Formats: sequence, structure tokens, C-alpha cells
Amino acid sequence: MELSKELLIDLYTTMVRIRRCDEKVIECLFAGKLITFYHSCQGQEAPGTALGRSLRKDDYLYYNHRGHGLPKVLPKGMSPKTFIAEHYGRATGAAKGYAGFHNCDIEIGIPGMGGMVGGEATLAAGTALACKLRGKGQVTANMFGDGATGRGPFHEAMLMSATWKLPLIWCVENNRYQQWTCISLTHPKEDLADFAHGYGIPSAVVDGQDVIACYEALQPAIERARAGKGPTLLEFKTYRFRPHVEGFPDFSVQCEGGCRPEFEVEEWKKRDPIKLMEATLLEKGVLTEADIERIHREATEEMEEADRFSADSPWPDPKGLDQALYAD
Amino acid sequence: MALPINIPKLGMTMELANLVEWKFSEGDWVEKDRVVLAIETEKISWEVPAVGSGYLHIIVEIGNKAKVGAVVGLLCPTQEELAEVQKQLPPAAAMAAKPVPATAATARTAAVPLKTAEKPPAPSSPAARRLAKELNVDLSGVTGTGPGGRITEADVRRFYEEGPPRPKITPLAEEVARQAGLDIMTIQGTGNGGTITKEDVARTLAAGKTPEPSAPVRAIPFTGMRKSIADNLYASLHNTAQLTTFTEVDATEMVRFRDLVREEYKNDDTVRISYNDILIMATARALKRFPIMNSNLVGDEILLFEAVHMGIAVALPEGLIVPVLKHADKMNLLEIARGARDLAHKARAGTLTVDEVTGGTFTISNTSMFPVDGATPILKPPETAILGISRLREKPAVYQGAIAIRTMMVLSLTFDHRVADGAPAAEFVGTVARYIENPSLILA
Amino acid sequence: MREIKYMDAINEAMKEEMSRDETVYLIGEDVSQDIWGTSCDLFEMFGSERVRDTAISEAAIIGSAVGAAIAGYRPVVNTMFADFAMCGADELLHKAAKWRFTHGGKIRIPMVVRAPAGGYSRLGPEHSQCPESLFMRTPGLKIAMPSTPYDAKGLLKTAIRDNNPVIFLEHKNLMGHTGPVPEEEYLVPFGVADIKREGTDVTVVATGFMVSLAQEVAEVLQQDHDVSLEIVDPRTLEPLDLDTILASVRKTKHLVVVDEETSRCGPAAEIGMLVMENAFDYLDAPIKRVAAANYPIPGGYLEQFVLPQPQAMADAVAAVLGREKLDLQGKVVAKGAM
Repeated sequence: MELSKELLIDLYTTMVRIRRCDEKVIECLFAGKLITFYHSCQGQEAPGTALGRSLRKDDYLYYNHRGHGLPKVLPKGMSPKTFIAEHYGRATGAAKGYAGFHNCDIEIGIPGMGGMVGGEATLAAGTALACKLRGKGQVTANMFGDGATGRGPFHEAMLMSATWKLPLIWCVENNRYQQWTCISLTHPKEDLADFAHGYGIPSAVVDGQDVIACYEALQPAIERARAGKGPTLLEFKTYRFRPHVEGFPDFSVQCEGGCRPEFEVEEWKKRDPIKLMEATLLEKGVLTEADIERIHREATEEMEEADRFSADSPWPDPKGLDQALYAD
Repeated sequence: MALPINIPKLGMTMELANLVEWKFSEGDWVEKDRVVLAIETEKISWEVPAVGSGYLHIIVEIGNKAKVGAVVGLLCPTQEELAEVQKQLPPAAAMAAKPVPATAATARTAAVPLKTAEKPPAPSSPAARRLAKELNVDLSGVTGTGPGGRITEADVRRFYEEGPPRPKITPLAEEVARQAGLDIMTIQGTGNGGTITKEDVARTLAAGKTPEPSAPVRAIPFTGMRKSIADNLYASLHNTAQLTTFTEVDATEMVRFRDLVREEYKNDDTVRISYNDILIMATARALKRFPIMNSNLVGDEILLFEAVHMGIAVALPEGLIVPVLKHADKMNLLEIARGARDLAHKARAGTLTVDEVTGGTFTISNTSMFPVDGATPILKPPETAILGISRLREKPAVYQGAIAIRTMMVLSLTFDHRVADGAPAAEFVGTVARYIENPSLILA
Repeated sequence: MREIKYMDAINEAMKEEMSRDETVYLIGEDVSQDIWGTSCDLFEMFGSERVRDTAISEAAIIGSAVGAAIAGYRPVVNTMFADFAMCGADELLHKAAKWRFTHGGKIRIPMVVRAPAGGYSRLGPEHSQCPESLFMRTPGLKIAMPSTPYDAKGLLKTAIRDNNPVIFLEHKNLMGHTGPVPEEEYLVPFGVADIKREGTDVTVVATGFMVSLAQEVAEVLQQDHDVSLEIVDPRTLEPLDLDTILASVRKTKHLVVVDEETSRCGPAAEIGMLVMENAFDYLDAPIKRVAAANYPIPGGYLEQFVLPQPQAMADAVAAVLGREKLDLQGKVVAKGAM
């Protein structure tokens, strides 16, 4: 599969924006400006970027807590302004300040996020059912972490989607750790894609640090879904560069296989998805060093602007609580 | 050993008494036979004398009710024993309605729970309190009918619509006031806790402190005393089948008889026989022959009485009161004269006891001082009959076959036709008439 | 007016709304049959696309309904037993109830979870519950509890058209009850209580199956004891028509709340508290509640000692009136009592 130059630059630029946004949010958190908590997505930019950039605007995308959806919603079209403003608790936030870190924009197919790991799986099945019933070729994607595969509802939803051949793309980002506990302690197999066998659906294991590989793996799954042939399970092997949640130490008392050894983190950092893509693009001559410097500078400026926008935004009016609770 | 102060049984139906006043304080020395406690029932005020001497320990405070026989206080022979019972039986104020411990002194009545000294405020429901606030009603005057005596909203509304509560009044004072047609709302009570006593009634009557018509010249307020009298009379007429018969009597012999007796006892200041006394005697004797006329209709029973308790209407400037001359049928004329005089004095002095204004079996209404020749007196339920007496008047009459000047009077008997038929009533009044025409017949 | 069964009223509501709006579909375990008899002809009329039998996957059933609702459909879930809905607790109490709110009101979740509820059938602790308190304490849900065929049809149609998640607690014991239901179309609005019986002495707030029991109790109390009950059926617990309840309490000055849920923290506790907060000054006696005793619901013989019984209602009425005992003499018997 030959990807266009524009697409390659776009995938790279998007990952850079995600990284800068993530860094900005952490900076604001430690500066006391961000009024909630944060789960950094650094190191895991590629799968979400590839997914978000692969979906149509009227497709649906369910995401999880990693980066509070940042590596999925930004590629799907959400502005960093509304993303950061939500974390500032402002009325201009992606959930109007009601959630703090659950971001929603139904106009671009982002229904939102819940508080239960893997809790979006059943909703994704239902949204996919709606796509199927509506018959307009829409699909639904759900990108979640390895931890979600421990939950019953995920499997119920997998079963439902497989049985009814729902237009659904199941994307598991396997970073091997739920909080601090390693998948080797919770799962019998390292490859979560193997779950697909039981449900009789296609699956693939993908290099989650290689955004091009991610993109290429997603296309047949999305086409299959659009064609009404049912769901696919894609497993993206990836790694988080920072702790589960900012401010907590990144280790476990479970030493034997439970912690994230420093050397392991350092090894994975050598496969930083942005650096990998950068090298590829330089090598292909798609981008120059100057282009790269400009892309980074623009991303930094964009996030500075988003920060200012958020800080200047009004607080939500508590009078809106009723209207938010029940629809007319 | 401490002596108990019990609630005495003052009548067959008495079950409870109100404690009106302790005449001594806790710990006071009380001599035997001194009045230690004032109580009252629906019918009577009573003063309880000490059965022995001792230091007073109060178990039940005033304002509470106690059952007949209940130990409401103790008289302790020594200070030590007083201290002991005060410890065993703390003053009711501190008891919070705990049952009385069974000590020697209280063993007899241990089952009677103690009353708290301070009567706790009657519980009231939130709804009652809200409405009371809205209507500016003082809940302390409202009687509760809800669970556990709780004042409900309906109680407050009833209180509000039916006016302020009747003031506290002793049974005697109430009867006196009723007979005098005095509205008790107009009487200022000076007794315990503002209770209206018979003295208060007497003072109000004496002062003429009856409600003044406040309406314009042509309007007479139909309220207060007038209304009270009207209600009683109307109730009598409304609830009975009254019939009045008249008979003209030649009273010449009675006049002579009266003069004779007066002359006989002219030096005795204690008696001064009146026509009224003779009429009482004649009527009382006649009633013995017509028991149906000496009866009360109560519920579905006509109660015939052996004794004649003669109600004697006494006109006071403020109204009418009917003291009762008990056992008039057993009295001779002098006794009747003394008794009737005594009752009349008491009526004017306002010192009648409740016993002296209740229990009548028949009533005489004497209007002989007025220039009328007959009336239709209105029954005093539950009595069966009332005898009206008109003035004595000299007039021409047929006497021994010739026209002569005789002293004549008219007897009018109102009776309840539900109870008595016309014939016995007529025979009864005829008998009274013959006794008047021939007073010596009374002796027969 | 014609009389039809409660289950047929529900069936009519389903047929009418599925005919009216093609985004409405029915989903659940064996819903094409439905053991409670409400699915008659639905599968034949609407086919497998809109009458969707599923695996035993309550979380996926309810969660998928949320996802479809967000995407513009109006799913109607039938959980077969209200108890089973708890297997989809996250989907129901979090996703359905909270997602609109936590996303600033930017999405709508128009769905209905029909949860056949209630005991008196000796089905044991996990097939007999009336779990409305779980839903009442969850802002974001609406809760309908029909007590008659008329209300069942009218409320279900309203529920399906509502743009919010609605828990529809249809009572298993009422399925065979008949009552007047008009031929012509009608809706029963949410948040409008129905005075099922007018009275003067005591307000009895009752829901679901308790309404019919309370009505029988009221009849005996009137005949034998001259006590007049006013039965207020809120019909929806959220929104709750507090005004009608308060108006009745202001009239009678006495309140007994009857519900089938476990007494502790149940709807009666909430309604009683609301009345205390809003009409304390109109009460002549402390509020009494009659609800299931604080035990799991036993199966078999013991069930009657846990679920609310008619005499307990009469006892509560007696208590608020300060009456000694209002003996029903066994004239009212809840189904399932032995």
C-alpha cells in the first residue's frame, strides 16, 4: 500500500500535535492550572492517529482513558482548544466542563468516554448496530487498552458484534500494563488478537509504534466493516513512556514481571513513534529538517494558543445542570 | 410510718379527681384534720383533711388528675422518714412518669402510675402548629384528640371555629352561674390557675358585671346572659311536650292559716312563715300521692323518687337561681320555712353549695309578687313538672252558696305530657288546690 | 370502554410505536417470545432486525442500546426480570444515566429498559425484586411504574418517545390484570400522578402492584371501618409529581407510603422525606411506610413474611390515625400469601 505524501505528512504532523498537547496538559497539571488528573499517552500516538485519520466524519469512534482520548480524538477532528479547555473545567470544553476529561463531539462522531475500563465496548456494539441498521456505510471503531479485555462486557460486545456481523473495528492498544500489573500476570497469552479466534472474526497483530503499519492494517478492517462483513480485532503492540497516571510512581511492588523496569522503558523509547516516522520521512525525502522544525514549532504554538484560550474561557454556569441531565 | 393522703370517693360515680391546691408545701408539718388538699370533680369541690399529723411529701402535683384511692401525698412522722420517702419517691417533678416503686407506704396503690409534676405540654402535630400560627391560636388551650392526645389540625380548627375554650370553673360556680343566667365568659376567675369560683360568680353578679349591650339603641345583642337563658328555655320547650293546666283556688283559709302560724311564732326571729312555705308543704305532700309528678325523665327511663327535693326559684336582680330544698316531704312547716329562707339567703349571698342547687325533683315558681293571674312556667328538665303560683287577690266568689269576697289565686301546672297523662296531672293540681283551700288537710 | 390485559396493553404500545417510528427496535434475551406474554405478533410483524433475540449478555444488551440511542435509534430493552438488569449495571446506571450529563448535554440517549419487576410469585431472591431505589438514586434515568393496563400502554408509548433513558418497571403480577384501555391512541404523560381513589382520612402513595393491593385494602377499610383512603399513584418515580402528593397530604394530614422495594432506602423513604421537607406543617402524625422487610426476598412460603402484605397497610393506616387496629379479617390477600 503506497500512502500519499500528504497523508504521510499529515500522520506525522498529527502525532507531533498530540505529543505537544500531551506535554502541554502535563505542564498545566503541574502548574496547578489543570483541575483534574491526567493519563499521558506519550509513546502511544501512532495507533490512534492512524485510526482517526482513517475514519469518515460520520463514522463513530470510542476511545479510552489513555491521553483521555487525545491520540484518537485529535486525529478524528477535535480541536486541542476544546480538549484542554475541558481539562480546565471551562464552558468551552469538549464536554462543556461537565466531565473534566471525558471529551465528546457527536458532530464528528465522538460520543464520549466513560469511567469504566472497557465500558465503551458494549456501546460501540450498539452504535455499530445503528450504523448497520441505517445502512449508509458508517462504521464504528473502539480503541481501548489491554486491560479492557479482562472485562466481561468487552467479551459480550465482541460476541454480539461477531454474531450480528456489526461494522465494528476493535482496536486494542496492548502496552502490557493495566496500571502497574503486567499482562503476563493477568492474561494467559501475550497476543490479545487471539481472542478473535473464539468469536470467529479476523484479527491481526500490528506494530503500534509504526504509524504507517497501523494505517495499513486498519484499511482492510474498515473496508470489511463498511462492506457489512463484520468486525475485525486489531492488536497494536505499543508502550507508554510515562506512568499510568501523572504524579504516581511508575513501578509496582509486584517485582516479578509486575513492574516496568527502567531498561524496558528506555528500550521502548528508542522506538518513539514520532522519531520513527521522522526518520522514515527524512529518508524518503518527504520532509526536510526545516519542515520538521516548523511542524514542531507550529504544534507548540497551537498548544500555547489552546492553553490561552482555555484559561480565558468562562466557567460553566451551574444553571445548566438540569438541561444537561435530561433532554427535552 | 408515713400516712397516705388518698383521693376520697365522693360519689358513686366518681373515678377521678382534679388536684386543685395543696394547702401546704413539700416538707411542711401538717396537723391532723387540717385541710391539706383541695380537689374537685365534675360535681363537687372538696377539701381533704389530713388523716394524721406529719411532714408533707407531695407525690402528685396540682393540675393533675388522680384516681379514687390513689396516694397523692404522704405525711411522715419524722424528718428522717420524710427524707427517706423523698429519696424513694422523688417529687413527681423529677419522676418523668415512672411507676411508683412498691414501698411500704405505697404498696396499696403501687399500680397507680405517678403523674409528672409539671404537666408536659400536650403534643401537637406539625399541621396543628402551623394552623395555630396562622389563626393565632394558643395551643395550650386546645384539647387534643389525635394519637396519644396529640393536638391535630382538626382540633385547632374546631377550637378556632367554636371560639375560645370555656374558662376553668368549679362545678358549683358553673351551676350558680347557669342558674343566674350569667355567661361564664364574662367572669374573671381568681381561683387556682384562674379557675372561676362561686365567689367570682357572686362578685360578678353583685357588681352587675354582665355584658353591656354594645349595639345601637334599637338593637339588643342576643348574646351572653340573654342567650344563655334563651338556650336553656328553648331547649326545654324544644325537647319536651309541655302542657299547662290552670286552676283557680280559694286561698282565704291559707291566708288565715298563715296569719295564725305567724301569730304563734311572732317572737321567734328564725321563722317567718310565708305563703310560699305553705305552698311548698302542700305541694310536697301532694307529690307523695302522685309519684309520677315527682319524677325525672332520663334517657329511656322515668325515674320516680321517694323523696321530694323541692326546687324553689329565687329571683335575683341578676337573674334566676333555683336552690333545692332537700327532703321537703319530711319537713314540717317551720323546717320548710327555715330551710327555704336559708337557701334564699345563700342564693343572695352567693354561698350555695353544689349540693344545694342540684338534685331537684320538682320546682315551684312563685310569681305572686307580680300583678299577674297565671303563667305557663317552663319546665326545668329533667323534672316532670313545675308549679306556677300567681298573686293572691281578693275578688267576689261563690262561697257557701252566696257571693262573697274571697282571697283567690291561680295555680298553673306545667308538666311533661310525655311522662304524665292529663288525668293524674289534673288530679295532682286539684289536690294541691284542696290543701290550700283547707290547710288542715295537709295534716291528714 | 373495552377492557384488555396489562400485557396486551404493553404489546399494543410496542406495536404502535414500532409502526410509528422505524428507529424503535426491541432487544433482549428471547424477546421474540417473552415469557410474560407481551411480545405477541411482534416478531411476525417486524422481523428479526427489529425484534432482536440476543445471547445471555445483559451488559451488551443494555450497553448496545445506549450506543444505538446515541447514534439516533430508540431501542427498547426487555431484561425479562428486573433483577437481570443489574448484570448491566454499568451500562444502565453509568452509561445510560450519566453520559448525556457528563458530556455537557451534547448527546441524547432515547431508550427504554423494560424490567419486569416484583414478587408474590415465589421466584426467590434474584427473580422477585422491585429495584426502583437503584434507579431513583441515579439522576439521568426516568422511571415509569404502571399499575393498570391503561397506564402501562400510555406510559410505555411516552417512554419510547422520550429522549432520555427510561426504566419501565412492568409488574409481573399485573400482566394478567384487565382494565379499560381506549381503542384510540393516547399517551400518559410523565410526572403526572393519578389519584386512583379519592378519600379524606389518609393519603396512601402506592406504585405498581401495590396500587391494586392498596385499592382492595381501601375498600375494606371503607366498608368495615369507615376509614377513607386517598390513593395517589405517582406513575413515574422520576419525574415525581410531588405536587399532587403534597396536595393530598395537605388534605388528609396523614401519609402512608407503600412500595414493594426493600424498606431501607426505598422509594417510601424518599417520598416520606420529601413530604417531611415540603409538607411537615400539614402532618397530623408521623409518616408510615409499608415496604418489603430488610431481607432478601425468600422463595416459597417465607416470601409472604418479607413482601408487604395488606394487613400491614391497614396497620400503618391505623398507626397514623391513632386507631387501635383496623382488622381486614383476611379479606384482602396478596397473591402468594399462604
